[in-house]
Amino acid sequence: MSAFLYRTRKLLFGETWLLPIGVAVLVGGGGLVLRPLDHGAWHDLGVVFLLVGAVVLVVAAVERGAGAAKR
Amino acid sequence: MLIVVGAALAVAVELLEALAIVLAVGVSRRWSDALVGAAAGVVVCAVVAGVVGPLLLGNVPIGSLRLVIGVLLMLFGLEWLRKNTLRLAGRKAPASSLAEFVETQEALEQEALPPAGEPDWAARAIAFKGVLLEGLEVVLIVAALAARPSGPAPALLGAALAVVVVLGLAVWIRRPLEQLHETDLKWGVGVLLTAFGLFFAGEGLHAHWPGDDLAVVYVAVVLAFVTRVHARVIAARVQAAEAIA
Repeated sequence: MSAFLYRTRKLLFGETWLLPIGVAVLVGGGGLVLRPLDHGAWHDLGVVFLLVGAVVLVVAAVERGAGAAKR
Repeated sequence: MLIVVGAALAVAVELLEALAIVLAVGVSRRWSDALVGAAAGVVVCAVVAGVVGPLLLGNVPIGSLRLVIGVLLMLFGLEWLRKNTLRLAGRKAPASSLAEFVETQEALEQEALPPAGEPDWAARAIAFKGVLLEGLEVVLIVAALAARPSGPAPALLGAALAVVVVLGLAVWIRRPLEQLHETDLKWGVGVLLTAFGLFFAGEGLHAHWPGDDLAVVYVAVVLAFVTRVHARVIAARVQAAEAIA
């Protein structure tokens, strides 16, 4: 059962918690915090927030993985 | 067109992994048991696809649907991108369906082969599990890409192309593709899925992408550039550290 749960978690969320939490922060922060603050600015600049956020997220996840491999 | 390519590449990569396991079972045990196990896995995946697809398409409002698709694709894409950037940097073992082939063969060597005419349950179970686990990833990715407002046709076409190409290769060579650069292929799929995910999530959150659908291309270029450079930086850093040590 635990192997099934592990595989399901890995299937949906991957091998680390950093990425799913980061995606939740990115999408939740954009949709629930930034967009209600200023709809016009979000319409024009929201994609920059998402793209930069995704780049930062993948760089951080890779750095963390590279550090773990080194140890 | 981009969705056809994205679906085809993602499905092809997953099928290669499932194929390596089925081929290992067929080569080291009996083809009939390998095919029975694989067919059972395909049937279960088809049932899941019959539930997941209509559930996504029929019950979720269009705005929320875009967001759900985007988040699902971002989760898949970013994970593939992370793992394969680490592989490109030499910080993780290269992706290899050949390795899966060898591992499966080794696992089966420990089980005695039953007499002719009796079912080989160990072989069937391993082929079933391999097809089921990789097939479920295919179902989730294709269901997410198929749930676009433009309809499921492009994603299904891409998936069908991948099935034809990979099965054709399997029948032709009957062993894993040793020369295929799987890490590069998987990194490319990670870039594409993340780009689609970001695009759909942005649409779902009512943010405007300059260039509309073409945004997928420049988002993919940015992700590809950053991760390739990052992989080189890590590889150089490791080399420098090793030179000092």
